[in-house]
Amino acid sequence: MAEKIDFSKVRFLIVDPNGLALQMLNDILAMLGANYVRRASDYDKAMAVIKEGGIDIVITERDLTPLSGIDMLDYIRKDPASRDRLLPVIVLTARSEEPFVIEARDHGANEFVAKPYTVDSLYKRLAAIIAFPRPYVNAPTYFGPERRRRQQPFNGPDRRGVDPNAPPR
Amino acid sequence: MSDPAAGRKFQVINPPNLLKSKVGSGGFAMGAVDKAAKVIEGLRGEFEEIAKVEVVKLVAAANALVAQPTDLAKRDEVYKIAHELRGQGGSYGYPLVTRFGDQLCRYLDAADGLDAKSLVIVKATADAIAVVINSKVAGDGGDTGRALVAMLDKVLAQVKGE
Repeated sequence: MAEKIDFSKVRFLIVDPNGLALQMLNDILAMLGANYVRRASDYDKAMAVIKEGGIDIVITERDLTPLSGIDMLDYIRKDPASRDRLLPVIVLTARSEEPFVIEARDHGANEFVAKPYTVDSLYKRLAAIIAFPRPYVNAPTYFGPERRRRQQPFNGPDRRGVDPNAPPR
Repeated sequence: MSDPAAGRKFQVINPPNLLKSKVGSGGFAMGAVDKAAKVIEGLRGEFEEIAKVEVVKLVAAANALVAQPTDLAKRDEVYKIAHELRGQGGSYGYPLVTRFGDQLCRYLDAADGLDAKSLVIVKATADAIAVVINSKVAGDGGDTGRALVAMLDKVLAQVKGE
């Protein structure tokens, strides 16, 4: 990807119970220019950071204790106490089987990266979140990034109720 | 249900892109992605040390499962260790750990009860992962790697063919 992105002002929260995996992700982000990376090894520590606020992007393993990365997504997207329901979340997990991809998507993950991963694949997901963010959808059973990625021509009426008061991107 | 708002089921929100304004453009030097990839190589030794401990646990868990095949906790323990190694091996230059770990997890997922034949496969795959780590069979493993893949394929074929 030719686009160069300055991550120095982006505040990351990375969550993984595996110390080496956490170290690796931290080092990769540092090499990409990130200056602000908070680390958490379990759900409770991660939630404490999220509740403080001020995080721009969360990168989390799915399998955490005592609750999961999916529970974290549920809090961020749905809980009335959530400070930022639009907070971008990348699920970076060894649970790469299709049901887990669908699960993460349906709970509002912005991106999904399967372990083992390459720096390039992670970078592309980060760039996608920043350069080409998807709109968010507020529906009776779902709140999160639009789950359709491919933009196809549609000539029918738009019934999805675009909010006329939403600020421009 | 005469409330017109009730018919509005979906709302699309286009939030302001605060992140884009934060990152600007032209940040890191070209090639930073490649440099970052080298970070992983720097952690390979640490992975090898941790993995050495984990494969001892994996083989012990597989042996325990062979001894008590109906014990679901023992099966879960094998799965947990294999799954963790599977998720990491490829990142640190050990794609065979990921390959064999994936095979083992899929087998445990699919196996409908572990009979004697299934246990042979579980044990052989756990042993193969241990060989990869203990002998540092990195990359495709060359002749050793091919021999391990062939050995596992043979075990699988034999067990299925019986």
